Amino acid sequence: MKIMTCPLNGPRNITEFQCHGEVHQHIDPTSASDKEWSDYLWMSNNTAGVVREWWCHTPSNFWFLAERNTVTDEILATFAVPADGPLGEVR
Amino acid sequence: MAAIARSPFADRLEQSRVPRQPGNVLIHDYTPVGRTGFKGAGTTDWLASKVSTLPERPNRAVTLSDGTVIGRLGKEEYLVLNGRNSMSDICGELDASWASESAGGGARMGYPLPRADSHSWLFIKGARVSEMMSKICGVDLRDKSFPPGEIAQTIVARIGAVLIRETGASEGLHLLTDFASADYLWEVLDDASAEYGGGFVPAGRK
Repeated sequence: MKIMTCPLNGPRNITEFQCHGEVHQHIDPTSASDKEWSDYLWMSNNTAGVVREWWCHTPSNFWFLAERNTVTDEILATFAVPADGPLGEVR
Repeated sequence: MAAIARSPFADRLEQSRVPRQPGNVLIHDYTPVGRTGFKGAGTTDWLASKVSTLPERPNRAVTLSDGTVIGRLGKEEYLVLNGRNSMSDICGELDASWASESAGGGARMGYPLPRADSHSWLFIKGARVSEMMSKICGVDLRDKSFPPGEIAQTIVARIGAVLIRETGASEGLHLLTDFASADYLWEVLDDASAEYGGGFVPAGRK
């Protein structure tokens, strides 16, 4: 069984987690063009390499960030969402 | 409402047999006992003004002098269990306080997270509880790695669960799981405990 370390709950079986996709910087819907807004809503970078993703520990419903290599499926780091500041999208 | 009228295990308990070796694994149904929860910004400050002590960090629990258990599930999320053998109804009092104080507006005090209708509540005790739980739960629940006062939010028998090792009750675990899955959970626990001669405490027994 693969183990993932939740920042709140510690090491747990990967089956306790759900991946919710890449982190995207939020854009301002009032100033964004239609194409920019459409890209934000529907397009993924689909990077082959290290990406920063949203994950959720489902029993506690705790949302956090993880860096994962999409080629090797290795989880490099997990951390809580910063109280303020950028989420650090990896491009 | 901090309590429910009838446990989802009630029908089963009326037909269950007395376990052969109750010292190994004994499962008590405390679902009819009151419980509640609170969550959101301001919860910690508000709850601290109502009870004598709170857990110092998430995934820790404290037991008050009347047996009430307060578990901290997140930075601003708490689960409150009425004392199993106490007549006091702290959960009902907290629910009423929150309702009356929130009506006045003012300071942020989180919001209620009722648990009576969403979670069933079992207390599992005995010398071989951690051994039995290792068959259905991935977290190491042995005393040295899961000491009194510790909480695990994890998956038990493939359903989300909150496990609490109550302070002063080191041989037992509180298990709170999805209310609607109670029938399934009964089958799993009945099967898992049978290997150790244990089982549910039949209705009408202590």
